[in-house]
Amino acid sequence: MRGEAPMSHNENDHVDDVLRVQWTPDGHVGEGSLHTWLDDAFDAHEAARIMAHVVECAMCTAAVAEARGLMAGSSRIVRALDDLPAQVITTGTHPSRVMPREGAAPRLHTVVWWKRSVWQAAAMVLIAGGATAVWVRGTNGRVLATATADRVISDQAQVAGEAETINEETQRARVSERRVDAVTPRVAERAPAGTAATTTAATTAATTTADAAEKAASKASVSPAPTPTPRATVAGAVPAAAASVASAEPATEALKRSMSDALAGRGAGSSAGTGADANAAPIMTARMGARSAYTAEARASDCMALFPDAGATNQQLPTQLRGTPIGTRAPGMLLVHDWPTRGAETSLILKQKGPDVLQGSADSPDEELTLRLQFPSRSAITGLPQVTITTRSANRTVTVTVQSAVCKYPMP
Amino acid sequence: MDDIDRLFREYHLPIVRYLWRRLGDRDLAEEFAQETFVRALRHLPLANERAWLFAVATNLVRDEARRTSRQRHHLSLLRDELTATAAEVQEPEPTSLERMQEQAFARRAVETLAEKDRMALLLREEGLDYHEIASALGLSVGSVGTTLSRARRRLVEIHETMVRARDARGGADVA
Repeated sequence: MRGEAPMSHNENDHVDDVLRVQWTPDGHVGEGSLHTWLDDAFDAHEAARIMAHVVECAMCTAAVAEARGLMAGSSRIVRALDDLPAQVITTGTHPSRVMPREGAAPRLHTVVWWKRSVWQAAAMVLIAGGATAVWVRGTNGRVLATATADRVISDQAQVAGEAETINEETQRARVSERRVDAVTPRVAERAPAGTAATTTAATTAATTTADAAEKAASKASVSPAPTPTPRATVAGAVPAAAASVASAEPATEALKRSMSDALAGRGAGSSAGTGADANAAPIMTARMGARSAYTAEARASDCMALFPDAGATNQQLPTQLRGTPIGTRAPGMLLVHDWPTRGAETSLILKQKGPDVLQGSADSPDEELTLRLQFPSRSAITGLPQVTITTRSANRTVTVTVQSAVCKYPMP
Repeated sequence: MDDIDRLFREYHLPIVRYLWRRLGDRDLAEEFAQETFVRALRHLPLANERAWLFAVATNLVRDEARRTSRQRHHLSLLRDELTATAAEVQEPEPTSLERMQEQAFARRAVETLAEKDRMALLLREEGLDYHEIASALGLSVGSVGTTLSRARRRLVEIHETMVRARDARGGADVA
């Protein structure tokens, strides 16, 4: 068996160890070089050459957008090969414990079953809970049985929620690593502060919900009255989890409310301005046809939370408005319901009509939508009378108008 | 042993994921990853460890492809035997029919790529840079970008063709 060392190379293969831009005969950047550029593999000099050309060449700009779509699409397809969250792929045995005798064939490796996955742990908890419920019911503890089952389901929701959060965080981290701006690919991706906060919120939400269910279950066990017991199933936990987070983290309250509304079947825009807080004002609300909706909502006072670095530089304010497909139902995420351009080649451009105050772009390689906004000037954003989102995919273009956007940023 | 500890912690998961994506067989992926690290243990210290590990894993995959059908059958029997004796080891339930279908489409689309393109793409998805990909696959570094662009375009186009064909047949609703 080979594999003792990297494959033998042709001597000529390494003649060009330094990457150079390849130009087409008609003076455009070659497709391979565009991918190399977007992969940030060129040195600064070569990257600058491409940059200088791309900003002047409409054809190459379009080619860059297409290349970005291909990169996002191919990444999504490759990720679809993983039928388990990355963290539970394997519990490999350390090689020091399986180092074979010299000449011995490598032995196949088994995985300890209880380490196999969080999902199986959740399933075990559910099964154990069911058994407990049956047993208790058999011993005339009907109310107690119900409470116990609810508690077990809550525990399952917590475990499953955490597992799902871990999975999504991993996927997003991978996407973020690859996502580069079409014009400025070397702009450093800032750590998605919103992601960490949201992930924490998600975990907290699941925990809080489970705790609440546990308390309610305990209460039910001592009270014969038919008190409604909160059932924290994986699906049903989302609105409750969002509500729990809202009380704990005011900055994300509106986002959770918007998600809850969407999950409850209320369409886009229905949650705009519906908060009891008099300060509540939607930052943006978009309608995208009967089947699709994107709703992002925040109070003006939440802007600093959405753009945590607003007061720091005010030059580049990326933010991550996280979306998650409705089928995943991870708590604590901004909902993007059935984003219409789900597909391989999707780009989204957000522009404001009138003064050039707000520009942004986002990739939507699948249902998940991530918006990043950039403020090229130091002007305060006091109102966004009209913003147009143009979503281009392989076979259609959708344009919507965003209204009622109000947000103020402190200027440095 | 510190080096192998660090290597294992840092690269075991990416290696398994890479192999799994390529092979579509988790047990085999884990076995090959194990073999990769066993070989690393023999060759420590490694100059360019990530490229070296992925190159060895890649070679193991290629060797596997060259094996005779009898050997593959034997391996399959061994896996079946292990599965049978470890009854508690069960595959997780698929999350949804849609996800299974997506996975099947992705697998078919990836399988249609040329071997070099497929490997380059999977290595890139694991975060290897162009020099590491070139080293692992025996390519010139200047050709990696072209290889990747070709692989990405073909993969996406094939996948879209599959999705369109499914939609035309009135298959499952993707929304």
